[in-house]
Amino acid sequence: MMKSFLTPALLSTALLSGSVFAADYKVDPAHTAVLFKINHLGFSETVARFNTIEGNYSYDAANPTASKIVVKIDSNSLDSNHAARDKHIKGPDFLDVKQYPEITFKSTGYKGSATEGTLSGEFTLHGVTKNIDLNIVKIGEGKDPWGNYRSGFNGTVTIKRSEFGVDQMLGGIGDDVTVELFVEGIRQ
Amino acid sequence: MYGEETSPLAMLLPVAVYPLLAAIVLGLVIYKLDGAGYKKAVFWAAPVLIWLAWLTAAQGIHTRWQFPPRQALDWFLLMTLVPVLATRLPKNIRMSGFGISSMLAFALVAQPLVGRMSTIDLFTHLVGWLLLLGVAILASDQQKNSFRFPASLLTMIILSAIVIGISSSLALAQMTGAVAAVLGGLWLLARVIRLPDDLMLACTQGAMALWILVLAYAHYYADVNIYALVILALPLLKAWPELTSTDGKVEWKALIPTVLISASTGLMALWMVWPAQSLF
Repeated sequence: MMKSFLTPALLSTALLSGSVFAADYKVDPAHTAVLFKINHLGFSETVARFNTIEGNYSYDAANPTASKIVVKIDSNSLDSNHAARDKHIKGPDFLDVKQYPEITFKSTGYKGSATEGTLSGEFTLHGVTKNIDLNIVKIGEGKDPWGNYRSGFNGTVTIKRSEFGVDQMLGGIGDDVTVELFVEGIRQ
Repeated sequence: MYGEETSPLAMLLPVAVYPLLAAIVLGLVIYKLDGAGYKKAVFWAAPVLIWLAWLTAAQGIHTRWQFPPRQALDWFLLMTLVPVLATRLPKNIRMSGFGISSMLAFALVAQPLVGRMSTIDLFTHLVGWLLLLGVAILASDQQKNSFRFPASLLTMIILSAIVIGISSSLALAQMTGAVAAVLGGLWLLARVIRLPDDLMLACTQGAMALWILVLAYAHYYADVNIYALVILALPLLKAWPELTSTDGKVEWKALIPTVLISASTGLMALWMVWPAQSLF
């Protein structure tokens, strides 16, 4: 009698608190990077990165669809290894960082396995929010030498900058921007 | 800047040709209205024509202009009309009226920045800009030469467009260049038809107000060096001698020293912002 009462109660508790089992991670800025590459005059691809990133994510290998992430990038931390170009990209012609100091990504859903899949979410750039699908690959997880539990993922997505209102110099500078996210988090 | 494929003509059309043509057409309208005796209407319309002609270029550069305004540039295109109109305030309140209205107009444009400024920062910027605006409107009020003052301002505006373009923003350089195209169109028109001196001076003052706001935008949103901008605007303080000819003929020879004097500090500003690394 007691057993028949407890089993559904325990089951429903487990279902309701599914997220309790998902581990919450804080993005480790020292091991996280956001890179993007863009075509330059049809000759090459120029690579730049953002140096200041913060965020949190939740990941559960047993229930990967419950995974979620929120990332905030300081758009003023852009670094293309060329100071004058950085100033230009940060200016009103491109990112307009004075007006839009943050670039954000907030996931809305995940499809795939525990090691590979597609993370959908709202990406806000230049004040414009659009849904994007990030291809995610898990790199690994485990304890580091100091006892912290870490996990790491790579993600890629190609966006059209013109769709975000960044449409200057489309003739010479490509419209397609390939964004690569390299994220490592420390379990909280 | 990085060798875009757009043809120079396609770039020049919205920045130079359209505002220049708009200024000429609107200048002719003003001229006709003035001739027909609508002095009061012309008094207010003169600087507005500068703004309207500039708008033909600005909306071609900021192609995503929307109403109600959402972005800083949306606000900017609208709010620039306020200081331009303020140049027509009665002389006894013009300095304070121009200063305060310009500050209020720009405060709306700079909403995202104002929100992040500390009170002391805000106060410092307020005092600094009120001072600069006061000096500029006072200096322009002293001008009596409707041939040399616009030519001088034109030189400063063109150099400031180069300074802004080299510093960080081609779009803002184009917007600055458009002010020059408008004033240039009107100045050329005045060489063909007899635009009254006070009308030409009023239009020049309107162009100056517009130009100052573009410079402010370039400083706050594109990090263009404020010292370079102030230095290149210094020739505003030079009061050009009155026209000596009474038959309306201009002294073309006077153009050379006018341009040279007006360009001198602009070249210094150019040197200040010249990039250490090649942009190409």
